[in-house]
Amino acid sequence: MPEQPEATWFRDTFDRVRTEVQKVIVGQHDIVESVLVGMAANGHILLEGMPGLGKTLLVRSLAKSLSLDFSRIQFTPDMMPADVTGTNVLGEGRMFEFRKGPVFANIVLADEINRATPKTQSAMLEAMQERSVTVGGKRHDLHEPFLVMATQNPVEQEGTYPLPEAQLDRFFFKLLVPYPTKDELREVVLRTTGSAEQEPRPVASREDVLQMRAIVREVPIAEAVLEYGLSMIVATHPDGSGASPAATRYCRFGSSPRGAQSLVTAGKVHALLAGRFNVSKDDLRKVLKPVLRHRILLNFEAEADGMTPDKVLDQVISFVDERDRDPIKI
Amino acid sequence: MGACFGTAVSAVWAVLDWRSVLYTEWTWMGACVICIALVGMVTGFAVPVRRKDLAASVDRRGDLQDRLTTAIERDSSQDTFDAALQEDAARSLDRLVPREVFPIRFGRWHLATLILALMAASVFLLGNSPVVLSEENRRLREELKKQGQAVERVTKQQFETPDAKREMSAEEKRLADEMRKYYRDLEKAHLSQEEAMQRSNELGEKADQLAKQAAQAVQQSLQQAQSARASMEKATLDANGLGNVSPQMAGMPESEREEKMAQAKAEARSIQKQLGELKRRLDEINKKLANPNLSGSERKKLEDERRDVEKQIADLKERAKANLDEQKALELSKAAQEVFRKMMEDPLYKKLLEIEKKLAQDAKSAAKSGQPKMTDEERKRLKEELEQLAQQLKDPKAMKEYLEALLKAAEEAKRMGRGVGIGLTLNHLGFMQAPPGPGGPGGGNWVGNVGQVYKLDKPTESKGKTSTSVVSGEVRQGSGPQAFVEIKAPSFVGSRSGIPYQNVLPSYERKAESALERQQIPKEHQKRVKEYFDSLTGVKKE
Repeated sequence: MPEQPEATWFRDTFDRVRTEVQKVIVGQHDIVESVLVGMAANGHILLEGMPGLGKTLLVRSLAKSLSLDFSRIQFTPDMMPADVTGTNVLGEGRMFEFRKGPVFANIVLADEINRATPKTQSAMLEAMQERSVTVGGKRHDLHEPFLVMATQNPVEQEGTYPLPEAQLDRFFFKLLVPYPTKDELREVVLRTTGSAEQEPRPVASREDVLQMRAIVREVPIAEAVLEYGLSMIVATHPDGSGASPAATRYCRFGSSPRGAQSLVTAGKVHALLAGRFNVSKDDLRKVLKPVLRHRILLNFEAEADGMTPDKVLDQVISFVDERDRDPIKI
Repeated sequence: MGACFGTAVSAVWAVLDWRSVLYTEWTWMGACVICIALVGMVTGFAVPVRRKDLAASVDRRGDLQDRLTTAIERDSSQDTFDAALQEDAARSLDRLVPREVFPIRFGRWHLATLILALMAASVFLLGNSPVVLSEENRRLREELKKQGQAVERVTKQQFETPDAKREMSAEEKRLADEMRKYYRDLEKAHLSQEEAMQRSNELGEKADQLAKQAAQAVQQSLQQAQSARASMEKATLDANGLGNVSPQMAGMPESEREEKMAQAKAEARSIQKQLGELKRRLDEINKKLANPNLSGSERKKLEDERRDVEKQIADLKERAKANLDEQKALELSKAAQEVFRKMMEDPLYKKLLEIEKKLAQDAKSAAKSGQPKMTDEERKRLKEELEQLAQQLKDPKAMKEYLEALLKAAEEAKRMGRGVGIGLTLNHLGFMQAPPGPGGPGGGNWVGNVGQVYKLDKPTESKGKTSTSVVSGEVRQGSGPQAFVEIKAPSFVGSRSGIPYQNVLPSYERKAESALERQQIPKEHQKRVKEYFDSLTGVKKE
């Protein structure tokens, strides 16, 4: 493999951060890698999993290893938007001054985001999209890099407000955090109940993150690969001409254009991690589920048939692969 | 793909062969597959493969993760990763083994080719293999094949030579096509024997018809040639100042001319003698009339007698003049004969006369008996000779016309020869060489002049309106097999006469009796002819 300084630096930095995070997080390699991919791709992450699976620890460890500001917002139904964004308070000089909310950090953990009211959710989601907040008619830019990691509980509970589709679309990835295996659980128990606790060291800086994001954008993608990716996006549109049978049958809504952007960007990060200088179809296939699983809305029939977004996306991949044939028939 | 299309075409061809629509052979089918496969191969090499497609294919087959596709698209870009991308793609490509990337594998096209080839072979074998036939049918099939080969041979001889292809008329071409179809039907044994024989009869009739038409054309051309020759001879006489001499007189033998001259001279003497006597008598009458004592009635009688003598004298003078002319003509004919003798000494003219004679005999014989005297080879030589003579010819217009008419006659004669050749071959095919079967009712129609007779068990129904009649006869003498089939129909379906035979019988009977009288029929057969006509009229004649 030829050496390319930027790519090599990217991989090294990525590996260093991953190693540091994995010192604290036992197992969950795919989740850790996906979170780092989202970070490198300048995207926000929605983590879905049962409580106690290390989501907060993951985000905290990430912030430490990147030497970034970290804040955690525990969403509750009585939380107001100002509790997220901050508010103007009367200062000592009898002047209103803006007191920044927890959203003013590089990495924000929005814990149990679906417990907040839609009003508060939308304040958070506005910050995610605009990377700024407006309080009292004044706009306040957030610090770059700005990365939101939201968690939500998959179990339907009282007092929850599911995120609307438009807001879900703003998340780059939706990651499903699995239960640890028995071996991983043993390791967790041993680490957390012993005398010595591992703490991640800072191995990258804020500038490194910004540099990584810039490098990712440089990775080229061939027309045919882009066409392939777009075919997958279009295949999720139930009423489109390129819809897959699964989408036609089980989807109410397909992916938005943001899905296509996220797919390609995530593919670029994967290409760099694989030591390549181009995006491949495999890269797109790998990131399709975390990119699209929260962007497609299934219908009642899907629920009745026990279909999940991941199953539908598997069928979408098969559908597009069938049509992506070798142009030379020998 | 080419091979697949080739085998598909072969399979269709095999089906057409089986259905007797378009015949084929193993070699043709094989050649078809090879040719179309070659066309496919050439097309494959000729059609350019787009770099992009090739790169995509290599990426896919070599698991290069779209490196080549991207590198080719960005070969002129100079962004951050482009140089590394090009190098990475080149290295990845170097690691590939072309044979592994594009292996020769058994794919869908190969499978389709194999299946179609098996189909083609099966269908072809179904229609052509004797394996599935019984022993008897196999033998019959072999016989049909032999007949087919014979027809093919004569068809090729008659219709597929360069000369024949150039000279054939539209009717001949149609006949040639039908002959080809017929011999292929025979060779493939896709006809029953009855069908084969009926087709043979039909084609034979057409060939005979063509030959007869050609024979008529030969005779017409010969008449034109004779007319042209007469003009030419007249022109020759004119050129020598002998325009008054008829060509017939010029061709008179010497002895005949001398004899005629002697007769003319004798006649002249006789006329002179008669004239003298008549003049003397006229003088006597004039003297008597000079007598004044004659009565009125005597004078009138003498005057009538004088008029009569004068008329006789005038007639004799006319005869004398004619006699003199004849003598002169005979004298001139001698000169004309000399001119003709010189003309006859010209080898070119001599040769043309000889050719005319041969053609006339040939056409006469063909028109009369359907069998010309000359062989095809002889006709061909004759035509070549005429063409050579035409090149030598620098004579007057009449000579040229004569030669052209002869050439035309020679061409028609060749056409006639082709028709006769086909007709003879078809009539000599000798169908039904199967072992004698139990047979149906006795009797039947002859087909061919063969010497050993087999009769088919199954009579052939035809469309004739008459009932089956029994015709008695004897097997013709001679070697070789003979065959016949009983056809429940008039002998010549489609061309039979509408005149009741009772109406024509007396005429034919008279002709037969006349022939008997002229002893044209050998004695040993005369009795048989009489018995035949007696059986028809029901009257015993002595």
